[in-house]
Amino acid sequence: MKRARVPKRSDERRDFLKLVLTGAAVATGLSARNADGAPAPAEKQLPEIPAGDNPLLRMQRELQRALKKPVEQRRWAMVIDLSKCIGCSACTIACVAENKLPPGVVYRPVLDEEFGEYPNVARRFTPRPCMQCDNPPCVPVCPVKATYKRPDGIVEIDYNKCIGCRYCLPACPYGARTADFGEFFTLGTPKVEAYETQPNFEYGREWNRAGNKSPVGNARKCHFCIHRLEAGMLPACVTTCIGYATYFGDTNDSESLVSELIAKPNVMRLKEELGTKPKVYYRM
Amino acid sequence: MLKATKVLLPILIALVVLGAIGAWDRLSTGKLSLNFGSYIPWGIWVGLYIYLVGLSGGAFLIVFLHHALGIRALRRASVYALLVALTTLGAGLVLVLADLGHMDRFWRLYTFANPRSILAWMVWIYTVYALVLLAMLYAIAKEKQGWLKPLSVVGFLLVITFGGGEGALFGVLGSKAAWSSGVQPIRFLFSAFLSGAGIVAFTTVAFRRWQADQEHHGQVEFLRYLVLGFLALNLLVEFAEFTVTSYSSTPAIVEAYDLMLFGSYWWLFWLVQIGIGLVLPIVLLVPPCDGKPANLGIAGLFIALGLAGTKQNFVYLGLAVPDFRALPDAFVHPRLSTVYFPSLTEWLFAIGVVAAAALVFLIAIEKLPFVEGRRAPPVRPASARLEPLREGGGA
Ligand code: SF4
Ligand code: SF4
Repeated sequence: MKRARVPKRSDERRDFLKLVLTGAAVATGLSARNADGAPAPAEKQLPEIPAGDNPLLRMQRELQRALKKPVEQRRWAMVIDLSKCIGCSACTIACVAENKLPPGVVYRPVLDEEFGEYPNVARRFTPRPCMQCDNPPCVPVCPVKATYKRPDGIVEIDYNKCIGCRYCLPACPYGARTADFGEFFTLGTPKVEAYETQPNFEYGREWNRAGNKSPVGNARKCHFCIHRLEAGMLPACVTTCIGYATYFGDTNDSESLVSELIAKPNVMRLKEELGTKPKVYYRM
Repeated sequence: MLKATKVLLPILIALVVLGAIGAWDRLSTGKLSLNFGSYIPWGIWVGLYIYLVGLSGGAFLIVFLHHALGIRALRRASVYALLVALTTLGAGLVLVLADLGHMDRFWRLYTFANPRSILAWMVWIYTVYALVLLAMLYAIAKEKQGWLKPLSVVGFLLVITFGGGEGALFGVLGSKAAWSSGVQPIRFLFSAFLSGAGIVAFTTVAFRRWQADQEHHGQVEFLRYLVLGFLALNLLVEFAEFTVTSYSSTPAIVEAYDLMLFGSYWWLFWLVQIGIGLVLPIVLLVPPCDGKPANLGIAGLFIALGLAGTKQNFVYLGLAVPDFRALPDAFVHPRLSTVYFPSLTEWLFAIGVVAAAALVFLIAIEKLPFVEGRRAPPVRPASARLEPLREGGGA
């Protein structure tokens, strides 16, 4: 069996330049805006990913491979390596920037826990995105079918259907859903700054927060950056992680990095006893 | 006009005006001035909604007992109970509507209802129940006696369904240890019956429009036993739930109980739930204080107040224990906190809506012609008055 390759420092340096160039190519060559919710971009639109062992490049290639398959044959999953996470919260902030999250809305907080008593102490950092559960308790409770599981496994919220009852918030055992109360960081100052009213492109559509317009008033949560995925880009938290602690890919591809990682015995899922079947795995 | 109405009318109108200020604030600032957030996503409005809707169902029990089971002693009380059921249902639904992030989309609950969602079912059941209540009011006003029995049976079946369904709304959430229990539907149903019986006892004593005759005393006695019976049932269910769940030592449940007994809302449990809602009513309903009808009225009001506090505590405690201990500190914002106290807007609107319901009730008993005392009471043979408990029903 092929072993998951954990990146070495020399690899990382060598691949860094390639990666920057790739990122730029992806960002300029593709628009994350998939305003009409169109399916994955055609093969020719996807940028060429340079060869290299850097896990980001590998995952990028695997992402392209997955996009060539019909959507129902993709099963996105995330693996978070707790031994590598240093609790910098870069992923949290990248997510805030990517999705233009307002105050009080967070998709990927990093839990910071201390164990033991001095001098035998330890700290553990646990990033907590939406688990994209295969058996999501948040879905059946929604009274208006505004949240559902997509064929690729991502649990989506249709902001235009959500009535904002917030029943799905306590239904989630991971606290992964937050409500948008319509706040702005610069509310109460003479002018709400323009950077706060920039649109975001969650679920491949353009959303302009203003007044009570969705997603204001809605439940919100991590969606594995589906708008980026469909434009051939990895989720923002994955590309931003400074410690290569977050992996992403298609578990329906036995060659993918995430498939290799989750086949090992040192992975677990949060609150597995609830039967939610999370698609986020933690590597110890 | 009753003396009590004269005193209460200006107070209630003032409270409704305050409520209108809260409503204006809610409409003009959206949800900015509300204090709940994402980890405590439901606040005082949802707590009151489940309480008021349950109370409506509990009051309807009196209507059912009279019209379907023929409990003659509840003849007068059943009219008040119907009006209580209507006004409290309306108040509860207004509160939960105001709680929605998108009030403008509430119609989707009818057009795009999810058959797997208990909440969707509840909305449909409330709607049918409201129609039954209105139909009964119409039947009483138009003296269509034949409608009343079937309507009260249908209404009661709906009460059982949504009374238990409310408990199921919380009980099915496996994510929340303090809520997740098969006993919740029973718990909610019994507490609904208790609050309904209590508030009907209060209104029939405090806003009595008839002579304090033998029929009235029969009614007081019946309601006293009803209230005491439901009080005992509630105590039994609560005791079972408390002892079994605390024995299991599930950390989230133990923490919730700890919060309930010694947390920032200790007073809600000890003073409102136990003191006002349980101890005082028992003192007032058993010898030597049980003789006076006024004591039943006060006990009924206290029980209703205590259960309102119980529901607030229930909603809060289920949410106050975070899904992960470190979650509230992982990303700090007031909306991501497990501490909650209602904002001024929440208080104003909640008080205003309850006051509006009380106002509508008072106007109804003062103005509606079929309320006893506004029309000459039917002449009945003396024997009927001496046998108040079981006889054929009828309005
Ligand atoms: S983590 Fe929570 S919000 Fe995400 S799919 Fe699972 S239950 Fe739903
Ligand atoms: S808040 Fe929106 S997505 Fe969540 S249950 Fe209510 S309607 Fe559904």
